[in-house]
Amino acid sequence: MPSEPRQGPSLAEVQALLYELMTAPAGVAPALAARGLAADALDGLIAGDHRLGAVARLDLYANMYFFRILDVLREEFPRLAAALGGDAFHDLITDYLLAARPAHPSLREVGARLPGFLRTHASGQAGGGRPWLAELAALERTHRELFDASDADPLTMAALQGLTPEAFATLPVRLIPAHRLLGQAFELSAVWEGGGSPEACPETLLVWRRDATVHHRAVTTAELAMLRRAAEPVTLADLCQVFAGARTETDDEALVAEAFQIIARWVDDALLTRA
Amino acid sequence: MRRFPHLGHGIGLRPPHYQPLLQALRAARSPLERPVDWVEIISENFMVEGGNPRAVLRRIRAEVPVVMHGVSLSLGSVDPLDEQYLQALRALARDVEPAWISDHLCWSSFGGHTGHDLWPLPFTEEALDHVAARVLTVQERLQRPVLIENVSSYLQFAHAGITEWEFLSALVARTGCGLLLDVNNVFVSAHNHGFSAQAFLEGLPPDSVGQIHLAGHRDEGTHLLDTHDHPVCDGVWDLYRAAVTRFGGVATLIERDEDIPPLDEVVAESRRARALEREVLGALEPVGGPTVTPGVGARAHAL
Repeated sequence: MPSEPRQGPSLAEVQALLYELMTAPAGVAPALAARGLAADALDGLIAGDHRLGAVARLDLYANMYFFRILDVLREEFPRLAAALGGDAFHDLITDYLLAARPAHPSLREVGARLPGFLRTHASGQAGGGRPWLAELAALERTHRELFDASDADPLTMAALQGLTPEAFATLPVRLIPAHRLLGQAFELSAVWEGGGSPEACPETLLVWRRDATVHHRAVTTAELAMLRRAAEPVTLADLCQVFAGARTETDDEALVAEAFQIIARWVDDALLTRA
Repeated sequence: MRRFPHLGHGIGLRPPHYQPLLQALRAARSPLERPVDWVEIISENFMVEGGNPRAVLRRIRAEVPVVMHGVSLSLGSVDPLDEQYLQALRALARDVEPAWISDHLCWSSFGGHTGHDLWPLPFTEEALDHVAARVLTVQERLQRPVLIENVSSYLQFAHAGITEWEFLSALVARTGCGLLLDVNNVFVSAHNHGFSAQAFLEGLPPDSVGQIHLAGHRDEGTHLLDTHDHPVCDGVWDLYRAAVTRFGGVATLIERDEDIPPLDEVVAESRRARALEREVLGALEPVGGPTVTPGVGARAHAL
């Protein structure tokens, strides 16, 4: 137990040194060596004993720093981790933490830059890697972000059925905040379900939260046009026109019926709210 | 009169317990039938816009008092205080109306980066000056005294001139903050550094402790690791008995963060804490029931 004040480094000096050593990718001893310092260089700063020396004590913190974040990211990106395998995921996160050091106070944000980082990382590049990994990571991250995105009261079928045809057509609506559109170059459903390797097949995914669960599905070109329009306030009649404009058929009655089917599905999915 | 009321006995609110806890609270016909008197949330986990966590929190807050426990104030860091984080903390407090807000005596950020850990400080006069100034700033921004928790540590600094309990006592005297005494952390650090856990307790001002944490740890052979993945061990229960003897009845919470068992098991530990407290205090003072009703906790602590 410390008993007498001793001249020592300043608080800023202590934190600068320890932060560097605790976040070094290979542990404390190699980080000391990289600085040209001997293995016992910390003995004057950190009080060790017969059980644990100074380096071993600081290594406990270094390990906790890395493995806590690794565990959080493995939980947030389970499919990415499975696709890469344990060792490759470990190496990816090692590289990620060097390139994108955590800066947000919440652990929830520690994976925010991982999909973008993957696009530049060897394992996610078109060359020797698998370029769909970045899209898989983006989808997993989107699920995470929408899980606790803003709430909204969804429009119900009962509420719509109570409207007159005119009120129905002019009702201003918009998509709930907890939704996102993701343009993908690969069809990810097989790998999402736990197997296979995705085929190159451009598609747009709608990701949204209903109650406490986040879902996603691919959308058609016409539905995509409606979704983009419904990001801002729009009437249901205008949505039908957007749908018709995205199709080549001329049977208005059939087009309106199809558009209503999509709107009904959105209502079932709790995707729409009053604007 | 206590600055921090004895809320009774609670648990840390964790996702596996959201629904069973809410059901049990709603099924209770009186406060005495509630499984817990209050809950503690990890503030950062609820600094989100919406979704299930905030919805559950609102429902639970309607039933029992809530306290906010943060891990990111980084009071000991030489980095500037994170103003955005402080704003988010204030916004959450406006919504939750917690009985109080707490964080740790540690640093967890440097150079604009965060470590998501509770790194130990050198217990020096320089560090004390630095932390005290920041606690005063935080209390001013939050418009309330905060509780500061002692962390588990695995290293001590050779140039530290004062003990951890002297540091904490001085912090209380200089800032008017309270202490969140983590009995498990005292136990772990005392083992890891070879100091007396009893001396730690006796070194703190008797009226400074506003809350107690109890948790489990793991014996790694060369050291104890604060893991929150086991039940509270006998040694920590003994130390809790000593803490109650010294500090009286204090709002006490069971923390479990890994290998989280069913709600009943965590509640059973909370009830054991209640029984131990009753045994120690006997008829000296009323203990065990919530003394703050939902909704009034935060207002009771304005500076």
